[in-house]
Amino acid sequence: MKVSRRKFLRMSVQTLGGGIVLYVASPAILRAALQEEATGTPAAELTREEHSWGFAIDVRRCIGCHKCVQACKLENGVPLEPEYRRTWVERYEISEDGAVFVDSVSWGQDGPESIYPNAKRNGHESAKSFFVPKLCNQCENPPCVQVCPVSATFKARNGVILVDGRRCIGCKYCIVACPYGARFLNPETRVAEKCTWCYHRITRGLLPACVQVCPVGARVFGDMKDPESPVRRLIREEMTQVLKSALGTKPKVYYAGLQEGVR
Amino acid sequence: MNRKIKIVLCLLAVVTGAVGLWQLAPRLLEQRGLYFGEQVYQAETEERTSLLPIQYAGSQVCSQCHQAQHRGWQESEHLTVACEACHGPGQAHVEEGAKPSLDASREACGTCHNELAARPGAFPQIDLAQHNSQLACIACHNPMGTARQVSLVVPTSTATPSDTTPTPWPSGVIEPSGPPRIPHSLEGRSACMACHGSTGFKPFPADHAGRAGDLCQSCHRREGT
Amino acid sequence: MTILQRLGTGGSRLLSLIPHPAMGKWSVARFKELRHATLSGAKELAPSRLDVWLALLLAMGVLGFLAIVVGFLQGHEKVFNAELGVPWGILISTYVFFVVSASGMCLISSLGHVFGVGRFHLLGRRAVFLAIITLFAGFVAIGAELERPWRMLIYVGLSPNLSSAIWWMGALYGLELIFLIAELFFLSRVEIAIRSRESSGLAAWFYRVLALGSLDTSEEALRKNMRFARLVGIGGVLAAIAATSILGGVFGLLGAKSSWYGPYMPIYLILSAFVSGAAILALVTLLNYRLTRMEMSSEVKGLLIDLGRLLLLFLGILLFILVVNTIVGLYGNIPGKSEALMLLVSGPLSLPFWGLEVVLGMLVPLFILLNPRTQTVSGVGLASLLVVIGLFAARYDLVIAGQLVPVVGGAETLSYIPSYTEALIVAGVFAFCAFLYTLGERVLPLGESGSRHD
Repeated sequence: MKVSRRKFLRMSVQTLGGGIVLYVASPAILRAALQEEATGTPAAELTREEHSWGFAIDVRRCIGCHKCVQACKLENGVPLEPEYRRTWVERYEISEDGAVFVDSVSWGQDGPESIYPNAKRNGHESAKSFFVPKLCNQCENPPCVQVCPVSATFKARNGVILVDGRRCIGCKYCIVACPYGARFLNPETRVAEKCTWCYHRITRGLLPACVQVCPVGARVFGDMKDPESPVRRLIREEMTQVLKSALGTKPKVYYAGLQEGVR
Repeated sequence: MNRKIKIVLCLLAVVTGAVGLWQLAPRLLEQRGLYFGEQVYQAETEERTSLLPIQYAGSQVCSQCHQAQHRGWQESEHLTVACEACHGPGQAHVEEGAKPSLDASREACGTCHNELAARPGAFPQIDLAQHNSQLACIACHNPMGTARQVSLVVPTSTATPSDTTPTPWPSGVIEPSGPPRIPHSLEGRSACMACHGSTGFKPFPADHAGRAGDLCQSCHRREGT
Repeated sequence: MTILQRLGTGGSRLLSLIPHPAMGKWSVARFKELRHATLSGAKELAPSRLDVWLALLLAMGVLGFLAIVVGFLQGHEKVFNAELGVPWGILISTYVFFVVSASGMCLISSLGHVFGVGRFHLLGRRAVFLAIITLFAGFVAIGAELERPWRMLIYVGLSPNLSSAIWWMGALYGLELIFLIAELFFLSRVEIAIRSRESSGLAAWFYRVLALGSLDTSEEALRKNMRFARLVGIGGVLAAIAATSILGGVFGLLGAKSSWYGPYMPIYLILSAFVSGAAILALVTLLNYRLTRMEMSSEVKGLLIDLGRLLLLFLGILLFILVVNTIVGLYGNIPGKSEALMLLVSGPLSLPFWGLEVVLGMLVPLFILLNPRTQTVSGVGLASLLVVIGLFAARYDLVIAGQLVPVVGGAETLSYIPSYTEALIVAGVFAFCAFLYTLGERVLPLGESGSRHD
């Protein structure tokens, strides 16, 4: 086939133009298509979108039993080695002279490090001591979502930050960027991983596994849009704060009874 | 030829600029849903994540078969503790009949009840090394015993820590512990439901529905007692 | 008609506005003359020694490559120490070292052939070629650190996150690489074409491919090429500045790491790009002459002295802002920032910080470059070597110190020491870089084309 230069140019411009029109129009088309789909299956789709989940932790109740850490690992298939965790419990000890000691006992295959003993601090008399459970804060302004080069991590419609494990390139930027140390690289999947507030449970109407097994009700979960939800009630009735509020990440895990100095 | 290329280049620049703006604008306005492709794979990831299998079935599911145990648990000191906190995840048991494992060792009880400085003072704790170190906890304590009955008894058998076979549970006295305490005086306040009804000043939690008003104090006791 | 000629007719009017600064000094006849000089001169070299050198480098490079393969097969968490707590290890700091150096070389070489400053056009193609391979080496280092590098190639295009500093960094360094390759092509096409015409068989074919089949060696074609070289050179400069700034942003935009956060990082990296660019170019140029025992023209000597002055200037500024940043960080008691700086000043990183980064990499070179008695070609060379070592340590300090301060309770300070696999990969990347350079020096026209003009 012989194509003159003029014709070739015209054809290229036309193809290019067509492609661009399609590219520009595609968001609108996709949006329309998705909306249709959404109205087709209301129940599941709507509940998932309508909720806006929140989490609260009553530090004064936590007994450091690590049932939450265990449940999280079993529920989410997190590697059992203690250093990989989606949620964890820190033990703070503040001495008379103001020195702060922190350790984090891990839940491994043999349970929490054998009902760990009271820490011995040479030369420091422990004045107060308490446990602080930690997990992903599902920030309103998530730094991890900001930094992911391939948009693998994103905010789901119910406010939970998810990771698309098939898209993650393992650059670990999100791990570096998270001010709460909530992320880690899963050695089995080799992608970044974090707590999802048990997304697969909360979308089924169940509680996150850690909340479910907490024997003392230190972990509270619920819909922030429902004024009668346990989390809203706790936030309403107790004095609460979030971690590192100065960073402007707007975390959605609220702590009641938190000691100054917990980072 | 020359001019044509220029026109094409100009057009390309204009179109690229327009596409760029169209693509960038939603981001700048934080209307992220407009972004090409994102909506598709994010919805897909949400779907995929939500379909992951569950392991912890929840106490409600357990109660459907184990009704007697459920009743006992509801009246026990441990009624705030979900079945699966001690008995392990139960979904596999529900689906495939796999028997959930129960660790009834002293260490298992100690994960919560071993004395630690960091634990809240009101929470019942013992020094695991000192407290009847030769006996299994369940030789004296019934974790599933009713609160009105007894949980602490004089040992009737000489079970060793390794012997985890549950023994029958005699009656006795309860130790003060458990669910949230009542922070106010009870003088002239016998009808709990007057303030703590389903609506009221500080209503009872939704999961308390159906419990009679005269039962409150079987679990909730005055602070400091 | 070749692609080039077609492009040429289209943009000729536009291009005529941007003549190449070194244009008057470059001519086809000159190239041919030089080519014969090099051919006859090449016999004086000891090819066997060169072969041994190349083989050694290649072996080291292959070892590094095997270490990368082992990393992917075994899983990084098994053979790398940069996983938990400190997710970015020496491979990231090596990446930063290489790409910042590449940008520096791009900027410094552009002083000559884009902006027509002094003798810097003499650096010409060698600088551009070095920038290309160091940039490439940087990509290899970061590719070895990524868990799924192949996915990156797909998803940076399919689902780009335009608010991610790493996305912009990747895109802009990619752009810089393209500009640099185009620049090298336009700067050396005519000479490659000459080589293709003068050689036969495989070599002729090889050079023909390198010239993209365009064997026009007329003076007109050369002029056009030079103008294109300047055009893409400007593009390269812009890309290099933007890429290095956003690389600073990769660290400086993170609110979570107060020791990195702020506008210091991009400024610091741009300045150290000039420092490492000048140092590497001076070092390589000098080594090239010393190893081949070629006689250095007075112009090249002057170039090296100029590079030394440039190095002195930027090294002085770099030391200044390093001191300012350290004092500000320590004085302010900002949580995280002062702790990270304490790790450098008197913590586990104090040896690389004081010993390598500050004393060996800054104070000693400054002394050498300031002292009138050591303001010689050899002095510049020695200072450059020390600066390169110091900057490698500086990159390590920069990347590691920020991560050693824990963001959650648990440990008082984290620790990181590169594993053998990581060290082997870094050594391999350096060897690979040297291998490519030696090879390039052998087969490509990288010499100072206008050096003996007039």
